[in-house]
Amino acid sequence: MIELGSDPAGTVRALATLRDHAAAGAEVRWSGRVDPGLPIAALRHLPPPDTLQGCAPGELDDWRRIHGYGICYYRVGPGFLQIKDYRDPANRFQLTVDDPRLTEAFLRLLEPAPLAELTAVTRRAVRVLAESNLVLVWQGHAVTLPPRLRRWPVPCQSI
Amino acid sequence: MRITLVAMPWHACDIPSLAISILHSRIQLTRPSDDVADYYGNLRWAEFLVSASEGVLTPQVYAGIAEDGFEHGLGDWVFSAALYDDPEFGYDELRDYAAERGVDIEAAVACRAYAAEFIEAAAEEILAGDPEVIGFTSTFMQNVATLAVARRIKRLRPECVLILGGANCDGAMGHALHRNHRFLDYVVRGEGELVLPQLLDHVERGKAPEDLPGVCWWDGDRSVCNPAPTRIVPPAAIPSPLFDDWERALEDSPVRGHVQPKLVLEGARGCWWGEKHQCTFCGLNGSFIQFRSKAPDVLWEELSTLVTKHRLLDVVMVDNIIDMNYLPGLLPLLRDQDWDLRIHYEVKSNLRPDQVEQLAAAGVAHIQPGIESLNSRVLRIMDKGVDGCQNVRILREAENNDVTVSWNYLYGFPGETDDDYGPVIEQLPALVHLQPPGAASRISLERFSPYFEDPGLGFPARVPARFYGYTYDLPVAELHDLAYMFDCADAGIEGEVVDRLHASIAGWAGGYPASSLVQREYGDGGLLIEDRRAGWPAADHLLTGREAQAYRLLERGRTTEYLAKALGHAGLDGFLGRLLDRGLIFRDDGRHVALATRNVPIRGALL
Ligand code: SF4
Repeated sequence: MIELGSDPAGTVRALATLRDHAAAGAEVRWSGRVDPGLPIAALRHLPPPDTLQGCAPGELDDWRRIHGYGICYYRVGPGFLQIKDYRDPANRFQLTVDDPRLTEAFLRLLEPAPLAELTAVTRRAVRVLAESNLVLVWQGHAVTLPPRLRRWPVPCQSI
Repeated sequence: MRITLVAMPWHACDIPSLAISILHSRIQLTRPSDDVADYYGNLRWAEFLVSASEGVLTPQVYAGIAEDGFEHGLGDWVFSAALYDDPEFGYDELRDYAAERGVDIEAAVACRAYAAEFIEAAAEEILAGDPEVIGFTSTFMQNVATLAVARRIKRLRPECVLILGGANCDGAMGHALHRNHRFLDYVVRGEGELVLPQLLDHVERGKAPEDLPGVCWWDGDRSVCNPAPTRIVPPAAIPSPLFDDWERALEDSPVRGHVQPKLVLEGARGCWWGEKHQCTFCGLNGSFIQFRSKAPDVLWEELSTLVTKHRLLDVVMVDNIIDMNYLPGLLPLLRDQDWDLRIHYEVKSNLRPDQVEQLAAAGVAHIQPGIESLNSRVLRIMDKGVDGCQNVRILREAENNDVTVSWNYLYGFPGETDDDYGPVIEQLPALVHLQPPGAASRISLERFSPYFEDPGLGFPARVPARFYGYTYDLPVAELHDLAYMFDCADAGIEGEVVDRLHASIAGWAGGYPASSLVQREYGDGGLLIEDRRAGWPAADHLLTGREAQAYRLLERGRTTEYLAKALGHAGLDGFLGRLLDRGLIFRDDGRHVALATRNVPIRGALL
């Protein structure tokens, strides 16, 4: 049973672990309980749980329906990151990030951290990234949500 | 001079035009005082469709016609109404054609309603830059939109010099386009890098291009066609393309949100296989099949510079076939960057497993290996230089390395028989865990292919493909020179066996997403093969000792004799028969190849 919400440091760690499983396309079975404040729609690219207590009806169904390999991920290029985000079917977007403050914060938070440990510059960048749900901030702890995919699916144009 | 280079519909919206991007760069290098701009009429058309139709004709509709319309000439038909000032032009003929062949023309008909208005707007927009010379490029279905806008421009500003080039102008096609369209001042046949700057010099000095190879020009009202160039363009004269105008055009366009932009690059021209053994159906290389390529480090420099500059990680290599020197020379450089590239490359299908692995490690996630058939006799008829087992092997290795394969099953080769297909069709269910062909299709007769050039090879009678008739208001004799695709009597298999081939390939495509056949090392030298293929009972097959050894040897296509010798053991027929019955190997032309993979890719659905 994964607790999402009640323990902030544990929550961002759990999300990082799920993100890394999603990167490999690995099948993960898990069940959890979620704090009602946590934005579940931002997690639809992570493997959906078997059961999830505390979420509004329909939210888990949406998660299962929308989830798929590569619906939200980033790619690394020389001096930039390319992000594709299809978590919200009504607002699919692609983004190229080349501002070093943003790319550094994004990559830094692949390893979850308390905001208090970040520099002021990184914290400002986190605020920007959090607006697009690329970084999740939960009660003073932050984690980057999109994974860097380790494999191309077949057909590779599907993502 | 002020020069505008134009790419009209139906150029794809997700890629720059390599032709105008290279020529732009070439003009800048050779005539530095010229002022060059690129005009992406394809993007403008896609935008125009969205707004004029109030969102109904989306960039997806555009892409549908651009990608699938070619064999019926749909994209060209859309603009023939504008070219001939006749909204009804070719309409009845297309409707009859579509009804006979079950072609969906709804989108094309809807787009056509806006074509004339768009051509008007595009002509004005191009002229707003006040160009003295306009260069158009035409490949695939760009002809009629290009002709329509060129005609309009000539009316609005007769002094503006119009030049047409591109693959559609190669050989006899270029002269036919010129002599039938008085508003085109020049047509350049063949590669443009050397001759275009020279032609611009002539234009500037008001000199007739009598001495320029491949150029068509007007001597009064007589269309003169200079002999085709005898010299190929050396790679050193092919500069790195300039994509800046494209990037700006796309960034400013509402189409941007609908496409995944890609870089397009060229490492090589021609085909090293085809210059010795041109595949009998292949017209891809036009009049120049001689292979030449950029040095690996030159291509690397180009690719890495453009990836960095345009911040794009998707790359389409347009080479008809990869230069094998790029495997040691280019791929390691790509692999050693920590970049998530996704590269598309055309390769020959006899690549070894380690070569497929190298490609994948370098970011070549998508290959087009020209598989065409799984039967060695048919492959020999087409002079492919590979056998059926090699083709199955590359499908297996693609699976092992998460590499996407695009291929088609071709039939209709003169001299093939039902017997070449029966055994393959029977075995297709065993391949259901490997990537299916996009389609099974009868080969078409293409200009420049051996089948076209030599009627004695099996296609004695040919006429321009029917769609040219409803696209161009020209006599058949002219179409004969203008066309790239031809209709001819069917050769090879017909009837029931064709139906069976189509049906079993449809079954393959349906079964693939949920199928796997994976081998794992088991115990001391054994192999456990887990069969989870659609249409087969779930089963685990254990091979031990000599059987496991034999199966490993079959990773390459092997004859029974080879196996017997390698294992020092005759009497393998029973064993091979069992493997065949269980669909664990594929047999063709006396060889057997193992089908089990070591990896199952993540199967994605196209969004
Ligand atoms: S089909 Fe491919 S290998 Fe064959 S001649 Fe054409 S380009 Fe070359």
